[in-house]
Amino acid sequence: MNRGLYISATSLVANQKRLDVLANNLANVNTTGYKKDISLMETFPEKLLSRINDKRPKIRGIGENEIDYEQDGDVHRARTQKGYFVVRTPYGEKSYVKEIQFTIDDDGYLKTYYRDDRGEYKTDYENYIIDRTGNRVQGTGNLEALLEQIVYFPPSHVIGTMNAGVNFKRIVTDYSPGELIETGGTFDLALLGDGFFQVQGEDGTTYYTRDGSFIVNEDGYLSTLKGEIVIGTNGPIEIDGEDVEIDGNGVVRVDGDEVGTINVVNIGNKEFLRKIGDNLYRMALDRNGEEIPAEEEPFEGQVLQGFLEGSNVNAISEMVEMITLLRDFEASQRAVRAQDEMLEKVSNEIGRV
Amino acid sequence: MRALWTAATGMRAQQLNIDVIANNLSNVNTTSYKTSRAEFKDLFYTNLKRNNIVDEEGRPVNLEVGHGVMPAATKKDFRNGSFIETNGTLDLAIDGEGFFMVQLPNGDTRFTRDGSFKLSVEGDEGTLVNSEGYIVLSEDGDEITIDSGLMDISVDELGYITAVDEYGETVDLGRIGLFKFVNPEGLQSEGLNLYSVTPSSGEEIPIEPDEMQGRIVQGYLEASNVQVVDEMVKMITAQRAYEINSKAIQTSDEMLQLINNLKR
Repeated sequence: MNRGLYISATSLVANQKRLDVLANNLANVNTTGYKKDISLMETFPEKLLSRINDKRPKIRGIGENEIDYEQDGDVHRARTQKGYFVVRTPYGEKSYVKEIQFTIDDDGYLKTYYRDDRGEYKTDYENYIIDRTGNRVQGTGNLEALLEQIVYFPPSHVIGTMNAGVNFKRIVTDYSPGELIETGGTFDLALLGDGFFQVQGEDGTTYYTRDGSFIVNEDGYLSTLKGEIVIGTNGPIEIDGEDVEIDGNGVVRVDGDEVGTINVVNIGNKEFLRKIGDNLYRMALDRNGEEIPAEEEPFEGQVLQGFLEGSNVNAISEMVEMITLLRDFEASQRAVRAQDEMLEKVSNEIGRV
Repeated sequence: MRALWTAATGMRAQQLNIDVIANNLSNVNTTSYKTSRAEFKDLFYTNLKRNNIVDEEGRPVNLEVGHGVMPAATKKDFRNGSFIETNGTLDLAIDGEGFFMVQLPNGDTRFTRDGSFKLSVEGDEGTLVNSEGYIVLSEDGDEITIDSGLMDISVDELGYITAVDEYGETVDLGRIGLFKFVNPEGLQSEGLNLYSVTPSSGEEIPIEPDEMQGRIVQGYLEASNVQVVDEMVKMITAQRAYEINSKAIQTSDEMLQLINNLKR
């Protein structure tokens, strides 16, 4: 009935999900090795609005179209005055926009991007820029000329675009380090620098974790509190003795004898790590149910014995975000009510004879 | 509203955290008390959207939201506490690793680092017991008896007990049992300064005299290893964490109220 009502409601829904993510961060403010989640929102695809019953649809005159194009490092920006750029969302929908920001992905496609916790440009699950025939645009060199060719000029009955509100797009995990807490525990390990401990569950699945609060299990192997075995470079690490020393490289010495090295790896494609609870991560499963292989890189940091890594949740910024999202929520609610009032007038006042 | 429950798990977790800290603080003067620390893990995650949220290469997109936090374990910190001179003949402190073994009246054994021992006298014979009257066991698993005629009881660094009889002769009274564990963190606290063996601690391993890393010190007791400053800091952070989780609940509540007000 009233499109705006639904558009405002999308904001209510999205902000509710944002609060869910935020509450989880706050609940884990004291969780060992917890990494906070950040919600990213996006607008729904911009749809073209057309006049209905337009008798004489024709291609709008191509005329002179100026494209403003600039490049800033990996980021490209372009603006068109007439016509639209067309981007295709991962859902397969087309969105028509006047202005685009994109980067060029590993395969040479022009794609929108997001920035991860290290400020790197990521293009997984992003929108492709497509040309007039609907093909993804690949390009290097003179991008301005290329962009000029792909601008879509809508038929004359198109009067503009409109979007359908805001969508909760994705959750990005911020892997920045938490503070180190001294515990003095023999099997309490913290990682300085990017990397993960590898642990193995009973079914053989490899998990990753930053929670180095380990114990020795019934069989004498180093394991997590829940029983996942810590993987060493040569299999599980057996602790039989009392004087246990673990050095910066993860080498475990029991009573002076080397018994193994804890395998710490850095993961290149962290965007496919999924939290599964219990402070564990595992690689995501793709459409075929297969695990996406982890791009393991050597660990360049240090293992610290007697320390644990705290959560990296910053209470202040989370509180600020909570306040802003509440106010956003309030504003959207007002918008819904205003539209409701309009509808009320429509139904009760105009209709009065 | 998921956030409401998520934040509630956060508040519960901090409550437990405070419970553990309060117990540490109340045991600040307990002989050989070892600090406990609550540890937390994140609770499970759910996919907000399934299937349709896969990118062109078939890779899934991160849209999972967590359900809060749960307590994972309370871990003991087995670092030594400071040593307090008491001059008591039967006050023993373990400097380094190890536990004494005591026998409960029902025959079960427990382990302790509290070496404030006493003599339980019956007739003209005394038995070495702890403050509760539980028998302290020797390395062979026997009770340690001391005749009334013996004087100058002394315990050396390795745990050998000797005394002097009425003729001035030194009498060997055996060696006090000293045990270690592969994983002392796995021991279960029983109260009364006692610990019991669990599968994760492993069975007790006797410490032979030639492989002792530490020593036994007579006339001293081991104090608690609670660091009051650390506990205070932990208490403050726990309280604030509790507070911000309550704010998250409040925000959820306000949002629910706003939703209710949509319909006038």
